[in-house]
Amino acid sequence: MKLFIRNLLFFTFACVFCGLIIILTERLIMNHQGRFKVAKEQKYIFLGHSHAQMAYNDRLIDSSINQASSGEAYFYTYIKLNKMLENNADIKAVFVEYSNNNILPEMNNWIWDDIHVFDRYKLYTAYIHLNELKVLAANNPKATLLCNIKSIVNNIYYILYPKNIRADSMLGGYIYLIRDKTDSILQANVKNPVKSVPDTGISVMNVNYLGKIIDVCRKKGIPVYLVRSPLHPKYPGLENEMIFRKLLKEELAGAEFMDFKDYPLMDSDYGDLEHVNYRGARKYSLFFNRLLKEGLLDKKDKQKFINEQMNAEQNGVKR
Amino acid sequence: MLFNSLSFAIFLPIVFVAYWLAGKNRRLQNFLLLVSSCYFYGSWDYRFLFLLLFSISLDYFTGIKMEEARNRNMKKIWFWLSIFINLGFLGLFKYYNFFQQSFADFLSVFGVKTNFWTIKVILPVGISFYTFHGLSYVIDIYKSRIKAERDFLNYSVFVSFFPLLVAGPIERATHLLPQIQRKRHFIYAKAVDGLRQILWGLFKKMVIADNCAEYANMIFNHSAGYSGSTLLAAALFFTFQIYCDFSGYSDIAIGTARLFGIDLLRNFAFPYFSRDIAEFWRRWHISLSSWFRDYLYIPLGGSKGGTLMKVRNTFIIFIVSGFWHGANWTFLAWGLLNAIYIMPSILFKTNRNYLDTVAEGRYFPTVREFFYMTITFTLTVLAWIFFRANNIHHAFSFISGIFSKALFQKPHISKEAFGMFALIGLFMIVEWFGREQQFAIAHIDRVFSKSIRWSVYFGLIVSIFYLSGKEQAFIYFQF
Repeated sequence: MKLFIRNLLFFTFACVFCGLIIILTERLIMNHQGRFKVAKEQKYIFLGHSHAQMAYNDRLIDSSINQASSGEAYFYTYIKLNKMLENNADIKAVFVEYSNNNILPEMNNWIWDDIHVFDRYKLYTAYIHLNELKVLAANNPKATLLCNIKSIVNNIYYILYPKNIRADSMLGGYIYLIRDKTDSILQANVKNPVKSVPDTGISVMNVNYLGKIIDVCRKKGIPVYLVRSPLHPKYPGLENEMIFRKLLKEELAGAEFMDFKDYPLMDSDYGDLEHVNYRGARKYSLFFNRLLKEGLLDKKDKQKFINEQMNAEQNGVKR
Repeated sequence: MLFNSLSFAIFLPIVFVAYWLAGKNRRLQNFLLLVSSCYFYGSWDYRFLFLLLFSISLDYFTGIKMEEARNRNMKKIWFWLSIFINLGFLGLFKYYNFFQQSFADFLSVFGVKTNFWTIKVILPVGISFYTFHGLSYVIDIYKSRIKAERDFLNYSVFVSFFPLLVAGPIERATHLLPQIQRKRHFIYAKAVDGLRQILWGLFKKMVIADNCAEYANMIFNHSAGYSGSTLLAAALFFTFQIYCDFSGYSDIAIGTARLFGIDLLRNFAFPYFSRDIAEFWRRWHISLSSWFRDYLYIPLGGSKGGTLMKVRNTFIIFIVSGFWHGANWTFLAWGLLNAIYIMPSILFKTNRNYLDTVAEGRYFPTVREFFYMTITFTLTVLAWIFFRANNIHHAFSFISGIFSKALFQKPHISKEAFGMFALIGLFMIVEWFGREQQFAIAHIDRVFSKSIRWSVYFGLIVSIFYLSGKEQAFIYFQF
């Protein structure tokens, strides 16, 4: 019995030791690979979820890189941003998508449900800090443990075939959305109206991590802007606008907010009610680029300037 | 509590240490086993503990009463009382709604609309298994093969021993009760072998079965839109899913029992290497097949009454076996199909041709053996389609879908699914080289040095974590 327990413990210890050696070595290499380095001329970063990923065509916005990623909660954006700031001293401004669905309670699932842990956390296991690990371990210990082990092979692959962030679509990047379903969605909504119930809950964790994103930028002296990219006027997710505004005022006061929700676009410029397609992205990105060139970031009342410019554009668009 | 869950990984070492700390006191050990079994079973639904307790008490009590009966008639009364109540509970929980619905459907054919009283029944986990434990005990006493157990603790452990409680192997009192009655000693080699078997079982379940389940479910649930080759791929995935799921469970159960110094009956003996259907059924779910043989087939007359009697009895046990699996016509069809498969060997008296292991003492089978194995495997795959299908119509449309022109097209499955086939191939190679053992890697302590063995274990553990699919409940829990 004693021999059995002794051998079992020794085997367990050996397994854990070998596993730790592999994990630590692989993580050390990953952290020194410069995977998050971007070109020197890329000074503006766009981060966020699918709204931003499809709205900012970084080829049309000077000196910018779109690193937003569909289904990404602020929790993961925070890890990515930390690494980007660590690796790129020339970044001048960070734009983070802040839209109505970013604060919904379901964002907690985007952080720690099985699907998101395996799809998202897998990409960041080598870069995560203890605090973030604690969040995941507390809310989904099994998936966190499994994902750490499963990501080993993934990370070894990256070590053998290093990929820069610009070349790695898994971590983010502009998506050229061809879809144009707005008309059919609107018709379906007329036939079967969606009864939306105002959502009063929020994901405290996601909002906290947005706060951390703002803090880390401020500590490094890099301006951070919360941006709401264009949304279709009939987008049903605006029901929580009051909470959305309240959070902005009370919890996220450290960042400036720029609202492009009402940027004039036609139905055909949307892929659906919340995502612009490639046509909308082109118009909006060119507009955004013009504003940057005209000194948007130096304006004192940025929203006033934005509204004036959007009103000027409005005349040319018929919905 | 599933065998492949974190809670079981915590539960097992605690029970193991407590059990052997009480090593000198057999009754205390048995008491610990009973308490931990109740906790294990109660973690699903504590209410069904009362049903389990009732089932144990009934068989314990009727067993003693049968033995004490003054005459044959009294013995018979107690015997039938036990059988009636045991099967009554099984029927109520498992088959009531099925019979009620089938009867209503039958009447509706004649235009009679019925509104029967329906009950929302939750099937208690493992009811088919522990009911069969109890039945074998009662029948053995009735037939005077064993004496009634007077110690309630011993009998309770026999029925509720947690490794076999919810999905077998279906034990016999003649085999398990003596082990519970006597003192157990810790044997190093046995415990190590048990751990090895648990590890192999977890690999089969979590890596092969759970991954196959994802692909099989995806295609079976939307089978109408897939090509013949894709449907065939799904049928193959299910074939390996059900084997690795159930034999994996059995490996974990047997291995766990060995940690407590108890040997359980073997349940699988590499059935996919069988050369005919009769051999397949000697190697698949052995504890159930032998149960039906001993308690149904032989009492019905077995093979003694001529060909017609043999054919009748064979059909009966296969149909009952199908029905045991669940209240659905698909299981009956599966049982019936297997009965048809086995008929040629019954009629031509070749059903006991292959009692040995294929290619015994050789690395590779002969061409003839390989041909027979392929034919048997193909028939088995076809039968599994009935087992997995949602209904009979689905099964037939699935099979007709396979035998369409698109059978020879490249299947519409992902790159990962093709990778899964490669993994299955590798797994079958390991199974082939271990086919003369109790389980595929049982012999590695004789073949490899300690460092290689430990590397194999480490590799298996890593692959369980790395390759494991989405957690799926064990298929046989529903039976």
